[in-house]
Amino acid sequence: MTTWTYAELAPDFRYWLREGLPVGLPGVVAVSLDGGGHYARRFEDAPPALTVEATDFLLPLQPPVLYGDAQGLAVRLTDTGRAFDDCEVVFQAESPGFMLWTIHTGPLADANHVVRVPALPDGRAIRMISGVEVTCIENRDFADPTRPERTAVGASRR
Amino acid sequence: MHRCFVVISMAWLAGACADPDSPPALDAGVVDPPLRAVTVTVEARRLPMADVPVFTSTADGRFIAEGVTDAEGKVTLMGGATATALALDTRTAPIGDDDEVRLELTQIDPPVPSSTWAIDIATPPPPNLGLRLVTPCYRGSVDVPSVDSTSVTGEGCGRTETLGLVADGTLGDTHLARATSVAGAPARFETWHGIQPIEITAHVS
Repeated sequence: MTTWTYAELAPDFRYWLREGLPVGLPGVVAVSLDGGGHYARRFEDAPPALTVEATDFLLPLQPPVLYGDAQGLAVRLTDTGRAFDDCEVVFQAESPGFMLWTIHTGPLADANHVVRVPALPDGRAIRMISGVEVTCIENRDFADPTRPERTAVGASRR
Repeated sequence: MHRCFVVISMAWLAGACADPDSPPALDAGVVDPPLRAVTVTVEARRLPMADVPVFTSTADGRFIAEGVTDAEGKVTLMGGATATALALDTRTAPIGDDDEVRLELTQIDPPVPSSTWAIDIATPPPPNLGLRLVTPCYRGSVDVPSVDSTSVTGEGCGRTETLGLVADGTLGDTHLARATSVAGAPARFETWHGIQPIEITAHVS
């Protein structure tokens, strides 16, 4: 488990801290599970303490299913009925040079969703050299300041 | 006409393809938006990234158009459902309803340029074992020689309006101030906020 904090100097400017929160400035405390998602709370002033329970975290995502065919590559997310502000699909590839792909889905009302890997402009082949990791986020950047920002993660089976 | 031939060499991936003749269909209701001019902005830590190849695609991944970002990190292309910045860290995101999309890369190449900021430390910080200036676009910091300094030069984005000033003290006694530079006037740091550690308890077994 990892804990991290940051102070918000401006809406687009976060200063990372090793511990604590600055009094008088908005700040965030986040707790990340190893290999799992994170749970983050935003505070206008530093709280004296924060207690996090297992039920505060989102359930893991179903392993994404990978497809390949003449049309290209695709990743299917199968978390039917779960809604997120965005999901990130991340994998490594060669084409022929190394590429680290990150594909954002945008808002998903239902995470039973197919993510197509875009074909390259010059028709170069894409060779996947890693599994696929997916991170989905809800209440990103504390759009609702009364709720936590949370992520759920999943990875393809090897 | 661009064509794509996909190589899949990983055995585990082949095993994941339950039926290669039946690729997954797009979700019901996913309809490609009409072709129109879209603006793509590529940034890395809020710095505009010039000369980055960008292309647009349909919802099912077919290529539409390509271009290269200008000095402001922008390029206008015909799109499309998604845009992709083709760099070492290749990033794809859906094009918004406003026909714009911002692609945030993590790689900085070339490095963050050098900038000079005018500052005014109106109120000295409580601890003063070292002052550092921080900006949104650079994870490092720039040393500030003293509370009397009026100009600081180092790596960071000059176009940013909000700056942070960190005063290092003994462990657990760090203070932080912020200031906004308006119309080229010095960023004036007046109010310091102490950083207080908090106790975090997790029951996640």
